[in-house]
Amino acid sequence: MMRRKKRTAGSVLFSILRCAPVAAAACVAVGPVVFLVTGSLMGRGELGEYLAPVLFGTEGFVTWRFLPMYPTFQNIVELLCDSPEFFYMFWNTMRITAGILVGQLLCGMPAAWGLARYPFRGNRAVYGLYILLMLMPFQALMLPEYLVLEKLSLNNTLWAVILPGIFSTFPVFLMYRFFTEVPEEILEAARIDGAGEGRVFLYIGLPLGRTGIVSALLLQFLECFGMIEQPLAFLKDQTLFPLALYLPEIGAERAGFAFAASLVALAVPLLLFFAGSEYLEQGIAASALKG
Amino acid sequence: MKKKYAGIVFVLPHLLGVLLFLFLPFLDVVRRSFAQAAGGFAGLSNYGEVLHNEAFRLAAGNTIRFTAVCLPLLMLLSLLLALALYGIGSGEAALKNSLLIPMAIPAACVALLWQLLFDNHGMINGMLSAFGVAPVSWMSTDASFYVLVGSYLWKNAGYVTVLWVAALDGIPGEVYEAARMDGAGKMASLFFITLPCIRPAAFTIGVISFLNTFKVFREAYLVAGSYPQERIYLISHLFNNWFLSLSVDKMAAGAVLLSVVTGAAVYALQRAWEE
Amino acid sequence: MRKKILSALLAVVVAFAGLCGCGDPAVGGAGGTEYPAEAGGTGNSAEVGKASGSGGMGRFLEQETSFPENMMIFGMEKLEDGTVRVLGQSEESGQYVFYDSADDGDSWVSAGEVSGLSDFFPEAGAVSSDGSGVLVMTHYKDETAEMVILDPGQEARRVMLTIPEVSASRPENLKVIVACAFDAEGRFFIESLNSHIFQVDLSTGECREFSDMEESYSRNIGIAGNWLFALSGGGVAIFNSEDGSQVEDAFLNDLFAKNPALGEKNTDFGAGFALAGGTADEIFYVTHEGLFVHSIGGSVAEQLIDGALNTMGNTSALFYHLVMLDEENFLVSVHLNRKTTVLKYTYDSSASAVPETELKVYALNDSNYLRQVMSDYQKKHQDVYVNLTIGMSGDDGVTAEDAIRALNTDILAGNGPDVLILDGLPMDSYIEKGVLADIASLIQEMRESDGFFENVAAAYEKDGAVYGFPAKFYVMLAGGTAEATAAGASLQKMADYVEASGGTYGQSGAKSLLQELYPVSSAGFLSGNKLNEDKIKQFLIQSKRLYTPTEYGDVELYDGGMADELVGTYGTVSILMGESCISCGSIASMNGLVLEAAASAQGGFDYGLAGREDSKSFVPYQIAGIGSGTANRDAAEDFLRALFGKDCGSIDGNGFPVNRSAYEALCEYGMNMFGETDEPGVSVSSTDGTSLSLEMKNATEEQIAKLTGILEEADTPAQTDKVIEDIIMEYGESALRGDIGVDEAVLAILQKCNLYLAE
Repeated sequence: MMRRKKRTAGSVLFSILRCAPVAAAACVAVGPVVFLVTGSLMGRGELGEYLAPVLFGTEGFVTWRFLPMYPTFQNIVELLCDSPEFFYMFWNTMRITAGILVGQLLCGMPAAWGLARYPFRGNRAVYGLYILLMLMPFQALMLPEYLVLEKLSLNNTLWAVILPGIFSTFPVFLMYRFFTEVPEEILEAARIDGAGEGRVFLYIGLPLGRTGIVSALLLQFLECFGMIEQPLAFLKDQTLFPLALYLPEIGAERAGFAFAASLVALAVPLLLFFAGSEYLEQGIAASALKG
Repeated sequence: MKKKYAGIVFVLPHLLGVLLFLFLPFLDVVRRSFAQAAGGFAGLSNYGEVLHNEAFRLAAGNTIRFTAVCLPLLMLLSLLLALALYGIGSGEAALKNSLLIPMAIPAACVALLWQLLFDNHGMINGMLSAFGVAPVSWMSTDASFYVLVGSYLWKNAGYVTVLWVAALDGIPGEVYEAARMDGAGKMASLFFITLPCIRPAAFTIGVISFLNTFKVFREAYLVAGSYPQERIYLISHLFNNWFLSLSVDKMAAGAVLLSVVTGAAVYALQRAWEE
Repeated sequence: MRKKILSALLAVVVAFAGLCGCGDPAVGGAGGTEYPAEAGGTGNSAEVGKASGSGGMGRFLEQETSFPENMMIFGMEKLEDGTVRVLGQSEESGQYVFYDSADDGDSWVSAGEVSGLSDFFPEAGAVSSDGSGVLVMTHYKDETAEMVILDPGQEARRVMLTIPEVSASRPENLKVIVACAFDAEGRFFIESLNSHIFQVDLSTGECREFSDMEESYSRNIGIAGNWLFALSGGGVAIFNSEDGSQVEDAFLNDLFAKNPALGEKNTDFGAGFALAGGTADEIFYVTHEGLFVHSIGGSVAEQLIDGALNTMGNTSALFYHLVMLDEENFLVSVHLNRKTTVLKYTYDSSASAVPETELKVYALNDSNYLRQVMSDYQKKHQDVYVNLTIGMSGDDGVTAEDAIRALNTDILAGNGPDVLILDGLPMDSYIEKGVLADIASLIQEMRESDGFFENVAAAYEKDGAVYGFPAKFYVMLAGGTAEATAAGASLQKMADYVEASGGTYGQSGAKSLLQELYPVSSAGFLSGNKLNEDKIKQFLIQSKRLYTPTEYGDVELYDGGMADELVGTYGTVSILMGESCISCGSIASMNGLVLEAAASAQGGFDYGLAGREDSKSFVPYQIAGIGSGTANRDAAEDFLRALFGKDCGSIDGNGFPVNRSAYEALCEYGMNMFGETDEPGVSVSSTDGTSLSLEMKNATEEQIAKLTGILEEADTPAQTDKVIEDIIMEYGESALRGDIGVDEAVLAILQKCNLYLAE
């Protein structure tokens, strides 16, 4: 498929022009992770020395070494061995995330398909409502949402975070757009071949809208991992708290430990999702080819 | 499944949940906006109070300004990144994923890093002083606004880029092929094919970027607390503080105003887009 | 292919269904500081009541005994003569101490300290029923184990343990002792890290293998009577300590298998479980669920005490030991909130089996005074269960804003507390929004019976209504030599004086200095809804003049954040020690007055209300109000009667009572603090080694009169708005340290506070 290109001076310049900003952006994006990695490998003493101007108000400025003077695994060991709460909070996060994502796949995805492909009565009204609700800040809805959950006796259970998360309108909005792109002719062709609406959705809509689905799930995944306000509002029992609430609790005095915890909290979504999203996308695509 | 009912069947389960968990609370907010905090009908007095409230005006102004600066900047920047990134060949996925990292870093950790960078004794001032430039009080002067803008761009550029790339993916290759046959150059195909083709996506991406402007509150709050520097005092700060002082009546009126304004803006935008 | 998709979807559905299990809240959980609410459903009243099944009446009531010291407790036992003995290591001195109670825990007296064990680091310890204590330790260096036998009033006897070479997976771990216990006959058992249990001959240190528990990874033993429990995360093995025979007990094994945390002892401070022996086959045990009695081999346990109704249910409490005094009295030693307490549970046949009323009390911060009032109230109203919620317990990183947000949600949802301690809460907003009920009639009633410091009370009465009222208050004093005392009239004069005299105000961190001085001048910061720029600026300028960083830079000398106990900071001792030339700080107790009088007598010092020329301010403490939505108005009022009342108010410490009768009783106490002969001396030493001894005397009439005069003089409450205080502190700190100029700080403060006021 690839055509061999003549490398002219112009094309070299063009590809440099093209790569440079991307590379620069990638560096800016990844930069903080370098801080996390080096910071989590520093002992309390070393880190305290560098950060003292901010943390303890001493003279001078914060400095940093990108190769720790005395590298140590103390922080990581402390985190992984001596912090049981880190683990149960981690599992709470996983439960919440899994619950919301699965719920959105089961409810949100068909809803997006229905809104995008079927101009039933009230379709536009529902779509407008979804956008309106999407734009409401959480603080405003928190109290009445709390009251609803209270009525359903869901407060102080993980469901209080999962259920409203499932019915967040944002992923529907995102998937909606990708579903509208699917050409109508393909669907008609399938219908003529005798496929019911359910099969049209499963075998044509899903594979062709996969970039949208994966994008929506990706954003939702990151969203769930960082959720702070909802659990703080609806959960009282600390054993139900997710990881994001654990991190603010590690004071600045334990910066190294905070770095290590953030690193682990960061590594998990990276590994899980970035590795997983490729498979997910391919998986959906494959089902189309065979289906 | 008959086509006639299929749409409703697809939408219904989710819609019911939305009605229960979001719309019902929303109606309650509307109701409260017309009620006194202690109970009783208040008419439009809450709205009047909110509109005359100096803190609300400041917060609304700041929020509008922040959105006006950030949205175009983010969309343009990420579009350029997406164009550069798209079809770059090997490493596209890796680069794309690395751009997403900022979104995965826990907010508390971002706040800690921000503090280390932008504190009066922070790293950036350290670097400035090394070059003989006077230190800047990043978080207690108007510079804080740009710190917040930078934070927003840093955090969201990656994801928006991914969305742009997905939109670019959707353009069939044959269209470009045909254009090339007709002798169109790179610039021409960009302006006459690429941009028009991703126009519908721009609406969605714009709305999502707008939605995410509310989320900078999290970092701003963790770094600077409930009462940050004047320029970065946003609607979310105000809502948060209103709740702490139990001013739910004002908060409800403010929220309804906010949703009316943003809803109208999105609606107008959509109409303009669909023409 | 279709199959594949269907099965994929099915898997998704199954995964989703699997999640259903995760939603269950931790049973009986209730995080850290909240005391579970359920006052027992109607169904289990028979369980809550005593074994006799007497229906609606009869319940064990909790009472906190006056255990004198914070310590790590190694053993608590009822001796043969009926004395209850505790062996522990004092947190303060690090010494091993015995405490005895001859009256079933009501009072405790020291039964002697053991010194000379500074090189002994015990892993475990126990007290036998004949009264001697044993501690065991492992010498990791040479892989040996040692025990020391302690008897009150006798020299400690150290004996090396000779542990036999039994076959073990990790032989070196045989010498690492993790647990020990006495049985009813005085036999002593130890357990090693690799789960071997030995019986030890106390005179020779000879060990004989009792049991090998390697398979179950047991790391903890407990003994009830002659039943030895080898506890582990997966279950329990029960032996007869007399003959070593093992008995099956499916019920207990199940209990431990289901709650692995019960069997594990992860901390030095007790565990989630404690045991005590009863008669023959009967054992008692305590968990966070309550206190249970169980017959070895039986299939049920009977709940004697419901943990939800008392401290037992507090999941942050760790149990050291349980002692059965008789069928109607139990003692439990507990580690809770970094404090050591011994709780006594006494059966009261006249108490209803389940308290009919639950009174919800909310406070943002814990305080000793509130605890005193609670136990006082609980004693007088046993038909009411006081459910105390502390918004910020301090050990979980919940910020004040998080706590207030949660409280507001509860209030708006109609689940607000009955009684609110308003310190740190947005009281004015609450009044404005109708959250608080008018308690004017209660205040009037108490005014007629007891009287108040009217200068304080007046600040809380507006148009005949009272929504929040302080139980206590304190004032700021400034003093030293005659000139210093005169200079105490304002911050500016103080700074002038310090500069003129060439001395210092005393070294401190910027934050602690500001915290100390804030109550002196904050009363004038806000008038109506307007900030007084000039006063704030003066405050920062003068504070900056008074600020001397410590030689180690700006180090905070004490953390003013989480003080359970309100302690006065005024003390001219610092002048005597040459650390400062003027003293300014709070006086909050009779003890403080007596100590101050002793220092003043030595230096010829005087004092006056600090900053009296700017404003005569007092600091309110424990401001309380009643939630307007309460269904228990009467109970809530009774609680406030205790809070504002004479009984609790006259206990010294934590500020002075606003209640006049209580204050008078307190003065009585001050004048008779020491007997005629035993007026103690106190010796104080400074960081550089100079030391000083002071002679303590009872307070005199004149001293009391002077203090009373000052307390009556102060008529303006210091600024208690937390938001404003935090903003001023934040910028004030930067200004003091020199990061920003005072003008810049004032500007920032005004901008932010005005924003706050505009909201």
